[in-house]
Amino acid sequence: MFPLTFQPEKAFQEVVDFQQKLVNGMKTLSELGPIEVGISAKEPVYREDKMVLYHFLPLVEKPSRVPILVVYALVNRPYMADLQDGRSMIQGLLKEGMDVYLIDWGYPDGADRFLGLQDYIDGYIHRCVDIICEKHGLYRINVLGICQGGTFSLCYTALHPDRVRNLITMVTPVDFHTPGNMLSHWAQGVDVDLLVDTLGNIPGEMLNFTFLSLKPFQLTGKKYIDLVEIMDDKKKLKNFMRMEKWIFDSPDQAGEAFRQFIKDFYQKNALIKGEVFIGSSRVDLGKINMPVLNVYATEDHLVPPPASLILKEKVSSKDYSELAFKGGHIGIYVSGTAQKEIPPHIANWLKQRG
Amino acid sequence: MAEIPDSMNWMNFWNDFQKQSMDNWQSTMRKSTPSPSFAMDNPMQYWQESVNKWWRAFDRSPTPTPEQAFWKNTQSSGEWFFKLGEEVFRMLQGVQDGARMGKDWTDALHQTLNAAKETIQKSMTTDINAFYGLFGMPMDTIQRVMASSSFFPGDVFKSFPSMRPQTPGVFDPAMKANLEQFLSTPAIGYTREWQEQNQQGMMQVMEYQESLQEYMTLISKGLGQAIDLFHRRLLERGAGDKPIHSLKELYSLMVDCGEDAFSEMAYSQEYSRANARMINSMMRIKNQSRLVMEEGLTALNMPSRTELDTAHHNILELKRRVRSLEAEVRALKKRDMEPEVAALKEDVEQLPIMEFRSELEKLKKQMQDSLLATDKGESDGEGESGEGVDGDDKLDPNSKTTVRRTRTPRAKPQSEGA
Repeated sequence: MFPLTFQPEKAFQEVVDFQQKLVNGMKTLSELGPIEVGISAKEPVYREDKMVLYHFLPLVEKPSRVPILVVYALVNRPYMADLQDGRSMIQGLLKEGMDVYLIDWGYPDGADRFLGLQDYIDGYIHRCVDIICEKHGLYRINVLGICQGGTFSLCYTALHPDRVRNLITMVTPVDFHTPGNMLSHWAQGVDVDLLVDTLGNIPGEMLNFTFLSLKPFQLTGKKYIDLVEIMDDKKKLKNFMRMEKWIFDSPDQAGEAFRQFIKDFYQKNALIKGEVFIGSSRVDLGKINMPVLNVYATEDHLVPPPASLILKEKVSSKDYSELAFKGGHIGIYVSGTAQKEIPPHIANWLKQRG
Repeated sequence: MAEIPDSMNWMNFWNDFQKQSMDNWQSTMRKSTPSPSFAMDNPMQYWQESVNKWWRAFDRSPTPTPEQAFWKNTQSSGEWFFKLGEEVFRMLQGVQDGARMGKDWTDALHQTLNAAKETIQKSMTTDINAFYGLFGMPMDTIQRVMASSSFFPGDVFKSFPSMRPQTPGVFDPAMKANLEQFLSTPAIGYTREWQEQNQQGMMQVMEYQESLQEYMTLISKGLGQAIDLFHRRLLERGAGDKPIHSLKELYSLMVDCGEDAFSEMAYSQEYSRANARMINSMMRIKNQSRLVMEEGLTALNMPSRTELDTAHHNILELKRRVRSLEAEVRALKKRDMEPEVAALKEDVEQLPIMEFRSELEKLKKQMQDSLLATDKGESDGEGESGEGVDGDDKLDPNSKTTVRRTRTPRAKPQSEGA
C-alpha cells in the first residue's frame, strides 16, 4: 500500500497548526526572561589565572568528612552538572550529605595559549587538592571526574595516588580508538600542529560545529522542529533554553593543551598504552589502586561504553565498580531518572568507603 | 504671543498623526510584497520573495555592510530549505498524479525521488553558495584578506569565479595546470619574499578548492544515499503496513534516513581523509594570511600575533618557575624540623665542652713547652733529628679523642768503641 495516508488538506492543516504554535511560541519566548543556570549556592575559595575553585554550600548540618572535588572537562561549562532545580547532580550530592568542590576552568584567552596538560593536571588540579586538604586537615580527598575531566582525573590520580582517597569517573573516555567513536575517527588525519600553530587557542565555535556535525540533521533541524511543540509551555521552554545555552557556551581551548590531548589521546591512544607523559612523569593507570567507581551511559554517542569500560583492566584497584545508566552523554546529568539514580549511588558508594 | 485656541487638542492630534503614519506604512508594505498573481503562479516562492522585498526596502546602504553579508547567507540557507520543501511536495503531487493515471505509485515515487536527488546533488556542486550559506562567511573573510594584500588590484577572485574558494567543482583543469606552472616560478627582485608568499597563498587556495570539491562530492554522494534509504524505507513502510500518518512523521523518517546515511559515510576512511584534507588546507590558507598580515603590521610598527605569543609564552614560563619555587618554600616550611633540632641541641648540650676547652689549653701549653724545649735543645746542641719524637702523630683537629703527643727521650748517640 502507499505509505502516506494523509491528504494534502491534512498536511496543510498541520503546517497551519505548526505556524500557529510558532507564533504563540514567539510570544512565550519574548516573555521568558533571562536564562539562569547553576542552582546550588557556592563560594569561590581559590583563584588562579582563569581557574576558580568553588565550594558548594552544604545542604546538611554535618557534611561528609572527606570532600569530593569535581573535575569537569575543558570543553563546555561545568554548570551542566548543576543546571536547574531537580536536574542537578551537584544538588543531588549535596542532598545526600556530600561536601562538594568544583573546578571552573573559565574562558581561556590568548594569554592562556601556552597552557599545557601539565599546567592543568599537575598544576591547577594538584594545587586545588592541596587547598582542599589544607582547609579540611586531610591528606587526600575524593575526586570525581566528568568526561575529559575524568581523563584528567585519571592522569592526576596515576601521578599522585596517595592524594586520592576514592576515585569516580563519569562518561570518561579511556580508550580513544574504540569502534563507534566518530570524533576519534575524524581526528586521525588532522594536522593538529598546523591547526594549533595557526589558530592558537581553538575556538569554541569550531568545537560546537564539530559536535553538531556528529548528528547534523537532528541537532540543526529536528531539534528545532520539535521545539515548536513545547513553545507554549514556559517551563519546558526555559529548560530547553538552558540546555541550548550550555551547548553553545563553549570556551576556547588553550592551544598547547588541545595539541597534546588530541595528539596523545585521540590520535595515538597513548593513555591505555601507558605512553602519556604529563611533564616528565609517565601516566601509569596501574598505579590507581584506590577504590574506583566508573559511571557510564549506555547510549553515549560521544564516549561509547567500551571507551570507558576498559578502565577495569587498566587500574590495579581491588575495589572497582561500575554503574551503567541507560541514557546518553548529556542525559546522565539532566534527566529526571539520572537524578534519582546517580547521586544517591555515588554518595552511598563513598559512605561505604569512609 | 498668539493665543492657543481652546479647540486644539494636542493628544488627539498626536493620536491622529500616529494612525496616519501606520496607514502609510501598511500601504507601503502592501506595495512591496509580491502581487497576488505572483502568489498564484509561484506559490513556493511567495513567502520567500515577500521577505526579500521587505529586506530590500530597508537595505539602502550604498556600500556593502556586514548585515547584508549575513542576510545574504541566511537567505541562501532559506532558499535551499525551500527548494527541499518544494521537492517534497512535488514528489507527493507526482505520486498522486501518477496514481490518478493508473500508474503504480512505486514507479512515480522512484521517478520523483531520482529527480529530487539529481536536483539536490546538482545544486551542491554548481550553486554551492546556496548550500554553503553561513559556512561560507569565514572563507569570505580570508578571501578579502588575500585580495587586499594581493599583487593584483581589486578582488582577483571576482575576476576568476572558478578560483573563488566557495565555488568548488568548477575548476578548469587546463587553467589550473597553467596557473600552477606560473605560481611555481621562482620570485625575483626586491619584492621576491612578498611575491613568494602570494604565490604560496594562491597554491594553497587551489589546494583548498580541490579538497573542498572532494569533500562536497562525498557529501553529495551521502545525500544521494540518504534519499535512496528514504526510498527504501517508504517502500518498507508501505509493504509492512506501517503507514505514515502525518507530515511530522514523514519529516522524522527523512531525518532518520539522513542521519543513518551520514553516519555510514562519516565512518568511512574516505570521509575521514577528505575531511582532514579540507581542514588542513583551510588552515594553511589561514596561516598564510596571518603571515601576510604580520608582514604588514610589522611594517606599520604594530604588534603582531607572533610577538604577543612570545610575550605570553615568556610570562607563562615565569609563572611556572614562581609556582615551583612557591611549592618548594611551602614544602620546606611544612617539614617538621623541631624534633631534629631538639635532638641536636640535646647532643650538643651533652657534649663536655668545658673539658674540651681545658684539654685544648693543656695541649697548647704542651706544644709551646715542647717548642721551647726544642729551641733550647738545638741551641745546646742536643739532638735535632726528629727521631726522638715519637710518632709524627699529628694532632687531628676533627678527632674527638684526645691525642696525646708523646715525646720519648732521645737516645744518646753511641760513642765509638764503647
